[in-house]
Amino acid sequence: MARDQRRDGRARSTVISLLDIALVVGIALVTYLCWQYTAGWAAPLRVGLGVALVVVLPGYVVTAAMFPERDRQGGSTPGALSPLERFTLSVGLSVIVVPLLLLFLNFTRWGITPGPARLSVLAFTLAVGAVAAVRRLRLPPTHRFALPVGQWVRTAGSGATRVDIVIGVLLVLSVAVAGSALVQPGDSETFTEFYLLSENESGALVADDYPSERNRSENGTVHVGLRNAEGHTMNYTVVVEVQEFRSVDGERIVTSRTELDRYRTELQPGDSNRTEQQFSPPTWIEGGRFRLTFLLYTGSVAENPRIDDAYRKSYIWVDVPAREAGA
Amino acid sequence: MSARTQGTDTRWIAAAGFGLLLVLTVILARTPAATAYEISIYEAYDWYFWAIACASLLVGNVVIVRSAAEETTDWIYGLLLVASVVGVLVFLPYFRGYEVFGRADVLSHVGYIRDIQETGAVGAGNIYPNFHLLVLGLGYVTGVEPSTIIMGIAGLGSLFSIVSFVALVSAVFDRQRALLSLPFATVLVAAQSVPYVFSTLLVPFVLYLFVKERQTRSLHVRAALAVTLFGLVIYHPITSLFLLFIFGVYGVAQFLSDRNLLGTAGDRPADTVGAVPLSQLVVAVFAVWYLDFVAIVERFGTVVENLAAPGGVDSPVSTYSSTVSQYTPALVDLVRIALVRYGQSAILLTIGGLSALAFAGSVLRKRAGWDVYRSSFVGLFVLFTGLSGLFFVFDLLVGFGRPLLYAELFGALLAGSFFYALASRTESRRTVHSALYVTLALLVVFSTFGLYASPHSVDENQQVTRAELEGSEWYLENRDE
Repeated sequence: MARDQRRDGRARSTVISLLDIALVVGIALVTYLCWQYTAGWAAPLRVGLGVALVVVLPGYVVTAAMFPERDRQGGSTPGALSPLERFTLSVGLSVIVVPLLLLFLNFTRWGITPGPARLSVLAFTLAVGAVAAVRRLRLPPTHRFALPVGQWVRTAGSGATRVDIVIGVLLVLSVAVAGSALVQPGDSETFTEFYLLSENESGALVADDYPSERNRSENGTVHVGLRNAEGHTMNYTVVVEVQEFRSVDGERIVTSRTELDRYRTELQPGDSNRTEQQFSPPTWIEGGRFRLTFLLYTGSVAENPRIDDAYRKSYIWVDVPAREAGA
Repeated sequence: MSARTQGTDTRWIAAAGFGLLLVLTVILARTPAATAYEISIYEAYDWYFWAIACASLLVGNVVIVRSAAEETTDWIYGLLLVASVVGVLVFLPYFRGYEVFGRADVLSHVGYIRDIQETGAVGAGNIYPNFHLLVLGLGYVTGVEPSTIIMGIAGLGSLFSIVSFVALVSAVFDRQRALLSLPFATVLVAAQSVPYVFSTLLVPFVLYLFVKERQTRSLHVRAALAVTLFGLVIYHPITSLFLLFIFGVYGVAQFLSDRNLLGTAGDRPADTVGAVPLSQLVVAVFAVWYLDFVAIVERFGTVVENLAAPGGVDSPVSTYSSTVSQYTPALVDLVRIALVRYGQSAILLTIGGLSALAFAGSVLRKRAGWDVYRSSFVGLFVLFTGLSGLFFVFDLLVGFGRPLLYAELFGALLAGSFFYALASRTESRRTVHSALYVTLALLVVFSTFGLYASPHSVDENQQVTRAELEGSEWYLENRDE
């Protein structure tokens, strides 16, 4: 009977002293399972456990292997650690060890690829965790490190005052609110791609070599591109204008404008289109430089479209040779 | 009032601080994420958000200081509150829904990480692989894009630097001095995720390991220190170079202490340095390794040229003075910019300077009371402040901001002892505590408003939008090759 009790006591002591390492192994294995299941609900779990697996657990098992003995209570045991020191070492050694593990993969035939990278962190954590368990079990039960679970339970049960409970509730609520703010759907940034392309010598459309000089009799071509990244269906209006300027006190003032084209298009979210736009210098241009301006509107178009009131704008400058005398 | 009642009051103050934290998170949750580029993250939230953030940080610090006087464990609540608010502040880019946070350098490192992702190998020109591998490792394990992960790396490092600062001051100082140092633990908090900043955030951890190794002479701690130093060189070699200075100054302080030249005989630590420690050897070997890089050798050439022709046109001081003389900004603007950019530095350098003066006075009067660690901190504060001044006046190896960070760190490490000494030598403890609270309030405001680049510091938000990223991708796809 007494021998059975002693055996039970030893078994309980062993379980308690290995609880933290079992927890580490459990988290590591659940993280491994999360890699296998890519369902949406597993993503937050994968992030939470993954951060722990990289930033805390490898260092934790290294620390556990280095210091298998009980934590310092009131500074009485030189060489042992306080809980704060154990946590500091866990994080510090993790951020040192994990990159070195991956660097080691650099010199293997697998390289630093997702599978080997994950497995190396996992394998290291499990292997060093095993070393830590063995080192701890070699110590007499009273000297072994163990999570002070009993102390936590006692504190939570009877030692907590009203103010402790208030603080605990406020902290948990804060973490929950902040967490919910973080996992709210992203993609709040919306925009429309609006761009010009020209055709190069091989017939490919490129963002280069735009028409920069045209005679009156000569046509030019550019391609107007649109892509809807606004997250909902959009009705666009594109206004194409030729504008001539003069400079007054260093500022450009539009002196004349001609609308070359105006077209509407509806795009579903993620859809895009390209429209070929031909132009030639207007007859009233005496020579010099004009601006071929493309204005994009998402609502109604102003009576006199201006570059300032457009949703998006794009333009190119085109030179027109001066008329010859008498021509 | 009994200590127990005082302790309960302090804990209720902490509860009020956690109430402010909850309000802070509610504001975060209710504020929509950025829909486009915003020039200042400070304008994304109403003024009261920032006021509550500063107030809750100050409350956390008040709890820590009161706990030091009352000899309670309430400081844990204060520290938890400070760490929670700092956590909110450093992870703001996530709450704002930024695609990437950090231009220039940060985007270069995203590129380095992509190279490793695509090739499975570290490129030959990559001299900071550990930083990239940490981000990539987190990306692989969590399934999150490295460009998203990198936004939080500085935040992670900042929180860790606070924890390791606590471990360091607990190892070096007695309870009172350690607790009075804690409010200054946020000195290294940073939002810019680049290798140098991250490696600097690890410095309190290295110092903790170093002190622990000196105190325990444990083989395990020594091994952990050696591995950490090895890893740190590959995080950023300049940080290792600065660590060499730190170990060197410690060696000098220990040498002087052994000969009773510091007036430290009264409380010299039990251990003494024997042969050159393993840590110095490791760092020295890797410093030599780093000097092999051509770019660094070239920079040393520049140093020599600049020292030979002082007052070079590219030094920070000449850049600042020419900018001011060219644009003649209003004095109020100059003061605002200076406070946001260097307010924190000014406070910590002042405290560090006063500590150095007190140390010098003690040495001259042969008074005991300065142990080797605090003597080293004074020496290191003076060294790094001097280096900052040198790098400010001349265009040398690196910007003056790099050694300045270390000067601030050692200023922060001395701050607790400084206020402790003031309190123990003056009759009115309340006056000293008031001075400490005012200092902390200023520090909290300056560090909060200097955390992110903004027009307050004549800078712009480091947010990179999805439109910009896709625009760059579009150009690369459509350019005429």
